Amino acid sequence: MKSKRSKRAKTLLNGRANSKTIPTDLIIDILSRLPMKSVARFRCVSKLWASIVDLPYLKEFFTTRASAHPQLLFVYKEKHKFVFLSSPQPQNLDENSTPEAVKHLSRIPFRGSSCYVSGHVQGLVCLKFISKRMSPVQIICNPSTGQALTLPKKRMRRSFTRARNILGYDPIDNQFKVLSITRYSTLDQHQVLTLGTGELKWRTIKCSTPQDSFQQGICINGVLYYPVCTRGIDMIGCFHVRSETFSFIEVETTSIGAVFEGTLINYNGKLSSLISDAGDRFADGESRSIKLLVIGNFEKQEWSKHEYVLPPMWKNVVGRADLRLVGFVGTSEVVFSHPSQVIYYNIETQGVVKVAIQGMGASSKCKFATFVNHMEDLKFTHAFK
Amino acid sequence: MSKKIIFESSEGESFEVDEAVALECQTIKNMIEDDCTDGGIPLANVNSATLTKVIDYCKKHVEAAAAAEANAGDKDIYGANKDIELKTWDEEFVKVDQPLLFDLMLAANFLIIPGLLDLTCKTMMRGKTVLQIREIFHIKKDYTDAEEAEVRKENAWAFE
Repeated sequence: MKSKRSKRAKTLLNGRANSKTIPTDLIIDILSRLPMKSVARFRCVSKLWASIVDLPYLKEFFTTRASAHPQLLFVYKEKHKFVFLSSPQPQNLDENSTPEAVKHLSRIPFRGSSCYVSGHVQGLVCLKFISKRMSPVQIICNPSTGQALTLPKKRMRRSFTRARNILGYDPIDNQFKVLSITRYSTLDQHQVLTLGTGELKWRTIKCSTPQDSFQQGICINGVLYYPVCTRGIDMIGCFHVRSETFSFIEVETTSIGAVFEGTLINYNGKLSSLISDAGDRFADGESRSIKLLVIGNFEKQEWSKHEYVLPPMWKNVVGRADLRLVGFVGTSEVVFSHPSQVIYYNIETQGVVKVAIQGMGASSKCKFATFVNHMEDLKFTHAFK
Repeated sequence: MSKKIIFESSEGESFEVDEAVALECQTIKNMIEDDCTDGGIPLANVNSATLTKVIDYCKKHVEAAAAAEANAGDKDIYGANKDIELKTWDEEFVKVDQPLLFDLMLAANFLIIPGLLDLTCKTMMRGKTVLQIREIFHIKKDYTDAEEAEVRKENAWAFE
């Protein structure tokens, strides 16, 4: 111990004399305390600093740090631009919550119309719009870094065939893949594209079950879940991102509404659906209750249904705002969003808290989407190489 | 009367502090536990100006911790002690020139004072450009212009 200490002291002594040999462990220590943006910027300081930033140990540390501070992510459409903003996800809510200021993350320009956000997985967002040449364009982007890439066009055997793309993440190999499900398919072929492999290329994969998917999907623990209709039966498709195989969960008749009309969410690691008493993914001051359907996962299904009656104060807090059901923060706070506010309803304490979101500016009336548990992470820059 | 510890700066100047204050430094704490602090602790790599500041910091934080304990009932609903006064004091404390800040950081690293290390690192790095960082750390640019342009392009988002 003693010798180690004196060795360290010697290094520091030299370091002070000409400041050339600041110990690497101190540089690591310094970088680990800084925000992601500064860390990325300081890659440019020197080759040594760049190699430190890329240390697997440090990347892992940043991932852990990011997951300890999940954010709410807001996506707006401005003229020819997608605008990304974030605000901290509250850890403790009380009824006197102060307004949260948003942080501007990035803007992604686009030329076209009919844009929408088609998915959010592990810090990346999937955007879609129709180009001026009337063909669909898909963009995958990292809102935190503004990195974006346009997916290549698929070769379609028939021009009228339509496809839906869903973004998935495999945590084991740390890989993002886009699944493209061909609709009305007597063709049993779908396509997959892996991000971060240099060349973006669609590969054809087979599935013996015909699929007709209209809906958004959600990725939980390496499995992409999406509502799908196969041979006239309502199912939940499960695409296993790592093995690129499919399995299906049959949907109970009484749960079809929740699966196809509700918001699919990750509730405590389980595939679930949130639905309003009006039978869709929207709520307002007149709403009386919300329902949670916990489905489970591809191996084990629960199909447990829960109804939460909104308290009398709900109407006063919400007023005339139209809200979307977004998801859960933790296991008890249901998140509803509106362009300029976020409403949290605690299913245990029945408390309703409105948090004003400041700094949305003129964009607040535009088309928007909100996601919970967004992470700012450098680890995913590789997906854009 | 509490036990005293004697520090000796690189200039050979002696500083007597309460043991409780010295214990803020993990390195010194280890030495006290090993019972090897008799006759003073020579800090050959910490000069007097830096050591004075370090002792100020430790004193203040020992006092603040004692005061916080006395007012334990005042904690807010989150269980956190919102010590705004201490935060303001910290902010004032690091309003020093860059070389002294750098020395403070090295001293905090050597003596293992986590709070001071965090404070000095963040203050020193906040809002700095790549060029300023090279200057502070005396780093010679080892990228060629083309390489640097490439790295900047890859990390363009971080420069916006």
